[in-house]
Amino acid sequence: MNVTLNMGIGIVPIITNALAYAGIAYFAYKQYQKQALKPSVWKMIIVMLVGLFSFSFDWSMSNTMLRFAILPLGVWLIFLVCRGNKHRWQKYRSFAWLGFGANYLLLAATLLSIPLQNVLYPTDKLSTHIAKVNNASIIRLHPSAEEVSLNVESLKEQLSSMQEAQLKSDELYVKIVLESDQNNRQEQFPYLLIGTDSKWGSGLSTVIYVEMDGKGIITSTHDKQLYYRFEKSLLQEGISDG
Amino acid sequence: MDRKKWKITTTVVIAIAVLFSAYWIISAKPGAFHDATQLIDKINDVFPQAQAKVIQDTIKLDDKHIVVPFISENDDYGLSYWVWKHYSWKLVYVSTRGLPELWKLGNDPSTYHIVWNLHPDSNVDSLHFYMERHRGYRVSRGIEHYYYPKIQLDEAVSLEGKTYGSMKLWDDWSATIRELTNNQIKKPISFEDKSLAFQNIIISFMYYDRTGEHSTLMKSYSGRSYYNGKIDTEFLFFTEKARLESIEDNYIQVHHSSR
Repeated sequence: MNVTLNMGIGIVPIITNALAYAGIAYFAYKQYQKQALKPSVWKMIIVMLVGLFSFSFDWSMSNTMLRFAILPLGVWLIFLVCRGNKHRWQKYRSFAWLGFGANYLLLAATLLSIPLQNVLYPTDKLSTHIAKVNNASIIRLHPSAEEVSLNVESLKEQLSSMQEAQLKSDELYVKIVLESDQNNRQEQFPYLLIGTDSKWGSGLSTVIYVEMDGKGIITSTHDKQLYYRFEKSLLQEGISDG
Repeated sequence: MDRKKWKITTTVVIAIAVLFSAYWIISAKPGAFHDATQLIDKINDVFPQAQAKVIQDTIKLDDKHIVVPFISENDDYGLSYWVWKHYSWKLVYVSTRGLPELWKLGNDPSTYHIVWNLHPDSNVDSLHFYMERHRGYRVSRGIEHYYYPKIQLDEAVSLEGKTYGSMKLWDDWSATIRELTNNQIKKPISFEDKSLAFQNIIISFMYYDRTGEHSTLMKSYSGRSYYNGKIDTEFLFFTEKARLESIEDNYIQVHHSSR
């Protein structure tokens, strides 16, 4: 449980979705006030929930799923249920359509969350990916890794001064694979940095690899990697027990 | 007394009783496990082809999960997997092919266990496990570079004369799996592929026999298996030295099997 809490869900989509729901509630309230024929409130809520149901298509844009509702299946369903009773249909029609319209309010919320996320949590800033390092440690991922542990102080000290550098992944790959045969191969990034927290509310879970000499890291989200170099090594001799 | 009152009281009492017993059944502490004769009966009842004859041991992985290695009539070394569910011990999976498998007891990788029961003719002295991800790279739009470092974690377990054993996944392994899994793109639909292959992670094994030779030839393991319930297991791949990177024999620390 403690593992799943801090991953995935960021604060931005929570806020934009809350806005969308507030908007839906507001429109429902307005419509209720306006209408002469008042429906019962709990039936109104059910009608809106059913109205939400639609045939839609999903379109993924820069790792965000956008859902476009096309056919108002829920509205049709309510129409069928109300068939033969004109009064009833009159009473609930607007709420059924409001339910369908809610799809687009939620879509707007998603669209709003993208630029907001980029402004609050720019993924090209190291401080977004590494905000807290107190519980950080390293895992040796490859047999060529040395018997070393993380120097947390060195990491803390240098966080603000790490310089972005260029990593040519194709050249690195070819170099490693051609330079030695399978059984003697070294890994350029043989350590995994764990226990760091990304910036609060970002919802980012960044994988961080540490370079062989301890003076470089790769921050890696599912769609983007950044490479940083710095002066002093993050690694120190000996394996810590912690 | 009027009937309505009676009806309501009875309904409430029954409802409370049902809820209470449901809670009792769901939350009950696991009870005593079956003895050897009962185990043989149960295994052969659920999967007659298993032909279980001898129960070798019962290995408790946690409060609700037990692995029982057994020998069959025709000299197969197999494993049966038991789960405490709905107030009883349920046999969920039987296999007469005792090659190492990964049993995921829960969602978190720290609950994963490797279990095995290898035929004594294979002369296995120690089992060696590897968790790997291939090295790779990606360049998109000519400028955006993405590099996947090679992952190769090694561990070894001494069998100490037993054909069977179990090992909880090592902390570094589970932490690595957790880290890489969290990094995956989130699915809009609540469908999550938990298989290791989805993270491009491979767990494989090889073994050394008593002469210290690492063996590639194994006794043919052509077992049968039967699923009798919900269980999440993965077979481990068989690997060989030539496939591994910068591997030295002394690099691997031999652990002792948990039982």
